[in-house]
Amino acid sequence: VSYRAPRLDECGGIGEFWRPMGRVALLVLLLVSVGCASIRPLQSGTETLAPNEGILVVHIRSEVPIQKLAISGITAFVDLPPGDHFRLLAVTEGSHRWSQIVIPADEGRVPFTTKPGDDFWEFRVERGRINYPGDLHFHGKAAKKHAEIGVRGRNRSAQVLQHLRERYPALVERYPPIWAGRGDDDFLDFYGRSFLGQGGAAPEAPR
Amino acid sequence: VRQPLRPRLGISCVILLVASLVPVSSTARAGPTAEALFRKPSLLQVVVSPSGEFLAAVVMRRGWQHVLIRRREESRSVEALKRLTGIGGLAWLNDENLLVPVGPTGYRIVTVSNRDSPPSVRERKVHVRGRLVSTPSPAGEVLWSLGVGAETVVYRLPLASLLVQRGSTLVEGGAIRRVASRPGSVVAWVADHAGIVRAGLQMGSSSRPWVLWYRGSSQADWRVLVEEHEEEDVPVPLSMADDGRDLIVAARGDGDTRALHELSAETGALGRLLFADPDADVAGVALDPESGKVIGARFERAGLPEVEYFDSYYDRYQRSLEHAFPRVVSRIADVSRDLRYFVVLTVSARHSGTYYLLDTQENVATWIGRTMPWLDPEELAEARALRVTVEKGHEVDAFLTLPTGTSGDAPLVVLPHGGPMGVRDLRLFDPLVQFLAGGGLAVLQVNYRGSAGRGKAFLDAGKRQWGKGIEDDLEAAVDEVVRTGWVDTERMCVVGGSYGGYSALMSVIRSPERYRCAASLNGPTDLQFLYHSWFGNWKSGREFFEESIGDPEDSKKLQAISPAYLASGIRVPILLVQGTEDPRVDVDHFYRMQAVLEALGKPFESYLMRGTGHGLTRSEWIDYASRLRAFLVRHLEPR
Repeated sequence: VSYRAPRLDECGGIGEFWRPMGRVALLVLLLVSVGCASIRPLQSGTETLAPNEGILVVHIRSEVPIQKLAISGITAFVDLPPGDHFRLLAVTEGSHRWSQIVIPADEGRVPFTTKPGDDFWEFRVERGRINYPGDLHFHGKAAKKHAEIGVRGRNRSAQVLQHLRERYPALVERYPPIWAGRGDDDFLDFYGRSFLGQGGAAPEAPR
Repeated sequence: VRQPLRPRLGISCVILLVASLVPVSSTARAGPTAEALFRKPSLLQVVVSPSGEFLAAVVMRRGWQHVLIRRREESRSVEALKRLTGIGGLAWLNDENLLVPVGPTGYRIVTVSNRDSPPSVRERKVHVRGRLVSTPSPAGEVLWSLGVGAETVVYRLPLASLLVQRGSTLVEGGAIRRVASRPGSVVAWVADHAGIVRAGLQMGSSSRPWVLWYRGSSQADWRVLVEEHEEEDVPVPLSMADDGRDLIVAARGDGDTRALHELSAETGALGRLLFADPDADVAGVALDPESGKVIGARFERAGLPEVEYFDSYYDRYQRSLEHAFPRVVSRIADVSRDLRYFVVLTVSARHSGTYYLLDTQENVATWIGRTMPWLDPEELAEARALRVTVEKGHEVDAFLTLPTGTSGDAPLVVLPHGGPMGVRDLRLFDPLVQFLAGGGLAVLQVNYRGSAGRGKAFLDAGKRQWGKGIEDDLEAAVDEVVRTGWVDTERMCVVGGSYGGYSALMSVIRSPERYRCAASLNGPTDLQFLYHSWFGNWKSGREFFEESIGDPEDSKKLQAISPAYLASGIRVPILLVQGTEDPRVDVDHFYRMQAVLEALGKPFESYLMRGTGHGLTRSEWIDYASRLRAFLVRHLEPR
């Protein structure tokens, strides 16, 4: 699987927009006003998170190659071939968004930039936890100068949990998993509290 | 010309004589195989032409649906057309032309020549979209409805025009006349005896009411007769009343159940009550083939379909049929214009269906065919009805199918239906019930609160009763069966699909001592997830969830009725089965339950049905039923 780690210092995703206007000045402004998100891949499952970081579970199934996938303006993945991709990223806590998807076409590239406020693309990252925002399924095809791509979000919490427990048992033990996508879903939290020694009590059946 | 025929006595003897020609086994054997029970019926429908000269049938042969036509008095039939699937209800347009729905929106017309023997047939495609409203003249004119832009239009046109026009609209002119139109989507039109469209029911939405439109004549302006926001409260127009002015509608009036009323064309108020049953909704009506008038009401009682005719002619024949076929439900499925020939369908829990042609003049019933002739009714189990009082003023219907040859020693399988709201079980042939009974298992089905057919209060009583009142009803029905001593109460399991699967899991959580096992097919296990993965995706789904299940924001309450969160209370073996492509009950429900059962060390079996959705195909049913029965038999063995 061809996978290139993003640059650790990349910040914003608005880079292409504000580069001509003076990177340094705007970078300072951004750092002061909202803080800077950082994204870095976790490879071994034994890494330690920074105090303001959480783990983001990325599970992508795609029928098409993805040239670029950005989170809150930061390039998270480049050159993902069609197929199934399961990745863990260390991400700064806070609200985030799948901000841009770029699909390669026969002649060029087809970028798709999401809008702030569209909760389909949004998720949150809690520090010190494994954050699962749901799977992304890309289906469709790219043509000469355009691409017809559909995206489905799927909540596969239990399957992802099973996979995490098999491949990253140490991480699951240290960082309780939690649902991070659209709407409420307490299952991962419940499972962690009930069966991973992460505290809490199970509900009782009605009589 | 309609003949004033009168039913004669003696009909039952003739029918029984003919019926006795059907081969039956006198020796009870083990039940039929799953392959036999879940096989598609080979005879799907029989209709008689208005003149009574021809019979048309939909039959299944080698996986294909065929439309066959024969002269009533001849044995040789000819094939009119065949399709792999999608042939719907046949309808004779006149003496020579048969309308054949093909797929959800298409039609074919089969023209039959009455000069040849066997008859020659010609099939042609209807290129115009839309649907048939009625056939106002035997000469071959039809009223045809189709959506044109933002409105629904009715055209009156010669039948032949349907075969030459193309596209989404009809070109007016000559014999093709636009005779009615209303905005939006009109789901029911009513025409009077002269073929003048007088009423139309415009479909509502969450932001727009349902509207019943009316006009006094073809020249009069349309006016709003009734407006309702709730679909449940909408009066459904069925026909014109005898006075030619008022309408006959199915509606809830002062009573709780859906009844047949006249509806005033002046005020839109419900008038004279034609039929009501305090415990049963009107499920349909019988119409006179010539006048289109409502002549009877269909409803269900104790799990069996019944009809009450207002017309004494039909009523007397219906009674004669009931007398002639004592242990089955007999239904007049079609009738010739002169009322001489009736197509009669008989059904029961043990009979998937048998068609007869009744000649009322000769009092002879001719056997046409059985829907599943490879099944021997003697091998199938009978279902008996119970009326269970859960608490004062709240009764539920339950149906107990006992395997043949047992006397109080059969283990019991409780089989709650899906839904739960607006769905119900019938006491008719059910392949899964028969397959379980064939394995020596008694089967209990319960039309718990919220089930369809028993009025609004009973339906509403099921709201927000997931894992609570609905399961109380199931338990009360099991208590009743326990009291009868008809089954071995030490050996009981509970199984179901969709809501039934959820209910099975909740039942063993609520009553861990009562059951030996439970099985869930595509059953939701986490209601918070059910909201976000299905109901929460569209407005009416969100409203339905809130009204019928619970507050989607109240996670604690939803978890308190979610099996995945309550699995620590499970003490018996569980079978979990799930279709991987189920859009309604997402596959993660299965994985969640499995993960929790595994973590708790509970005994369970599970398997995924790859590519399967919420409903099962025939081969999937065979596989599931076989595995389910093996699981049940294993856990219900005497200890």
